[in-house]
Amino acid sequence: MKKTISVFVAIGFFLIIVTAVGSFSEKKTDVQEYYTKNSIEKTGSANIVNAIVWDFRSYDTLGEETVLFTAIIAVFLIAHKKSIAEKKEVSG
Amino acid sequence: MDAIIKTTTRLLVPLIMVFGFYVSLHGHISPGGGFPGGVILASAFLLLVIAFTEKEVEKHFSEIKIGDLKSVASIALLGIVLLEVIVRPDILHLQTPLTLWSGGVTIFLNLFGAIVVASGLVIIVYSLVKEEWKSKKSKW
Amino acid sequence: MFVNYIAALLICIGIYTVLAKENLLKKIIGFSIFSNGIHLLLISIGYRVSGVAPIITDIKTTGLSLFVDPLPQAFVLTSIVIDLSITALAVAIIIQVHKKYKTISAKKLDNLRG
Repeated sequence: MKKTISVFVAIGFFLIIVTAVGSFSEKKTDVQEYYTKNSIEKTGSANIVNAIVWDFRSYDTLGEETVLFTAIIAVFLIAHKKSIAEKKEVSG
Repeated sequence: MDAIIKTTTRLLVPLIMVFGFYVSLHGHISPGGGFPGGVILASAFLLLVIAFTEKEVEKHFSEIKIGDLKSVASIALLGIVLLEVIVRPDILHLQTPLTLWSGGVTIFLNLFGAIVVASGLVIIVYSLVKEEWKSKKSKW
Repeated sequence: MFVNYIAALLICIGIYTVLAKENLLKKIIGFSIFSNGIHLLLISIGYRVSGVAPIITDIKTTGLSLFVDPLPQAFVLTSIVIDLSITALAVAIIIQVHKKYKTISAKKLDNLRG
């Protein structure tokens, strides 16, 4: 039962994605033109992807670094935490 | 692990680290950037952990020092915040484009991002693998 | 373009794996396949016919029509790191679950009391 529902959901997603992607045209967008033209003048970096990541959309990257840092702290805390079973064994 | 892997690791780890710094520092003029450079730096440490035994790695990277990497990552994150949000220095007129000294402060941001990613991956991998050592107590 | 269909197939496989499998680690593998399919889809949306990598090598020749779209690549670069954080956190939680309950099957975990 569960697997049948999963197969139908997956096929539905497949059809949705295929029909949605077919409507994307391969024209140049305004945003692409802006970034490609102004990258070397406004940020000075030749790698346009790097200019977008660290300059045009730097707040995005800042939030992403914050997410990574939070995940690091959480993994460190969870992995070094003694489980409840171990604590019971130690105490009694 | 046997002697061939250990010797190859000893030769390769400094080269991998130099390549990681190269990728992260040249991120603004060539393919690459802070994240791939950081991942390469962390993979050097992962190779070290795989090739050597637990005690040999812990002799140089003890748990306290691994925990200190969190402070390194947070200081690098603070550097990103200072450079991006608070200070925003404008040094474009001092630089020549398409050389290494170009791109404003992007080179420092790439370096800080590489430090954050590298220390984070080292902490994650070491925490998970070390936990495995604790629970199973098996040799490699 | 056939890369779209491959990406959609990967997303399809990932969703099926997340929904149908009982093993929690297999669920995480399915999530990884799912996010990789999304990354492939985004990159294929940004592709332009006969485009090159968006890196300027000469100032005089801007080469505006030659570059592929750099914006999806930057988004995918962000998304990869988020995906890595999610996977690492989930694996750490699964290790603790296995320590406490001695199982990582979702069905058995559902039947547990207390």
